[in-house]
Amino acid sequence: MDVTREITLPLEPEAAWDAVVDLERWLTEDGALLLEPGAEGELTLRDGETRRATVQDVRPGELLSFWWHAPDALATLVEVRLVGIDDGTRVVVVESGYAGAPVCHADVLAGPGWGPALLRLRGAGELVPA
Amino acid sequence: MSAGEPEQAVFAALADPTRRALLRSIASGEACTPTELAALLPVSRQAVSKHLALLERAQLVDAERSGREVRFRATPAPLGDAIGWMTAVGAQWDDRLAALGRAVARGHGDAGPA
Repeated sequence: MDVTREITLPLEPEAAWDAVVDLERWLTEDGALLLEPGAEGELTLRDGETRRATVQDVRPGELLSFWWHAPDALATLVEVRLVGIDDGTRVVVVESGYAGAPVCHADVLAGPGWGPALLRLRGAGELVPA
Repeated sequence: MSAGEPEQAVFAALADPTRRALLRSIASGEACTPTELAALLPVSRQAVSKHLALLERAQLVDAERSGREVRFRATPAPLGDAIGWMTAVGAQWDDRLAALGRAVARGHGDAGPA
């Protein structure tokens, strides 16, 4: 299960990376992450929610990924991927792993992702009165 | 926003392609008993029953037992909740990425508020 969102920044990937990893400028109210695999941090997000995060992968200019979880909730994987394009850098965020990462990832690779699958299922479900 | 138990159950139930296929068949009215479902899909009747139990636990299907027959029907409400939850998570990322866009537009040296 995954949620994917993206934005295009008018910057080269290196500059976009600097902006992305400066979490306090866009993601957190308080709390930062050391940019090395295994680093842990307590994040307070801008909407007041808190997350305990563990860095998974750091590839400057390309990918920052971390697992995070709210208190008493299962962890999800957040991958922030940077892709250089003609007029800037596309920043793609994928949050996944709601149903257990291994299954999830296999599924993401096999198809267009979860959102459309869910919507199709719901469409089918509505054919039958509950 | 983090997933609560009902959403987790729905996501776990739908993490498997066979269960999604089962739910689709039941919802579309193609089949509604374990025997019919096993005939449609390349899995044993026993495996179908196991998958149906998981779907039932997530309240995505409802079983009606009459004599020896068990008929399943789709109950899509939890699906709607799960979609609502995913939509909310997506909206949060939209907000966060918009904040990233604003921060970049303000220029790198300026860390002041919007």
